[in-house]
Amino acid sequence: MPSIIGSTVVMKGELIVGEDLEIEGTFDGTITGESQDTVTVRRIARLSGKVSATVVRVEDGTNLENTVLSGCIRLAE
Amino acid sequence: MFNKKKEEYSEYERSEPAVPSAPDVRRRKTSVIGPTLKFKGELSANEDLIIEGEIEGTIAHQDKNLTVGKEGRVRADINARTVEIYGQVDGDIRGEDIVKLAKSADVKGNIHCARIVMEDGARFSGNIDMGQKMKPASKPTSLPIAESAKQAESAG
Repeated sequence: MPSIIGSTVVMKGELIVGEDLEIEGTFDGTITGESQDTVTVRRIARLSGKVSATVVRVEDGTNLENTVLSGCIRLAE
Repeated sequence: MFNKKKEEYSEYERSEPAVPSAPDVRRRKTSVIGPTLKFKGELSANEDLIIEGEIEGTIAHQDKNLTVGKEGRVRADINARTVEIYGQVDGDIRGEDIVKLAKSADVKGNIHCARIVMEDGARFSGNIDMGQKMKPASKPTSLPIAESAKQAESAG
């Protein structure tokens, strides 16, 4: 089971993850994927900062203002 | 009341966190901090939270359930309605309803709560303040250990 940051979760800081991660909530800071896993950003998520992972999957319609993504970026419906 | 056999208290031996399946997580709106996840900063939430990874900073999580799993390591003050600890916590714990320390728990900090369950083997260093006003018994809690305690109370 991946890590899940739910829609009511608000996180501010530095996150390092070595497994699949799904973000539905609010995150302000840096997210670093340490392995070959996927960081999925749901449409309802609010991101601000930097996301770096092998694969970053972003749902269509996600607000990525003030966000820097690095890695293999995939858009998903 | 004191003549109950050990089998009748089998629920008290339960020391494994009830980790829900993926569909359960979706249905119940539960956030999961997985075992490889490390986070340093501020975290707040208004849904159930299971921590199997490492959290350092502050956790503001009132009115919902928070579980620190066996692999979980938290260096933060915890606020939640019910708090279940199976792993390590270095910080103060405030449980509005109940705090449970399983036998695998290792807690360094003060506990403020209305009710507490501490299993044999749990490691705890700090003070316990139970001066908080207790919630009405009709309010359900997801902790099976608390339910079994109520049943045992009514039976005996």
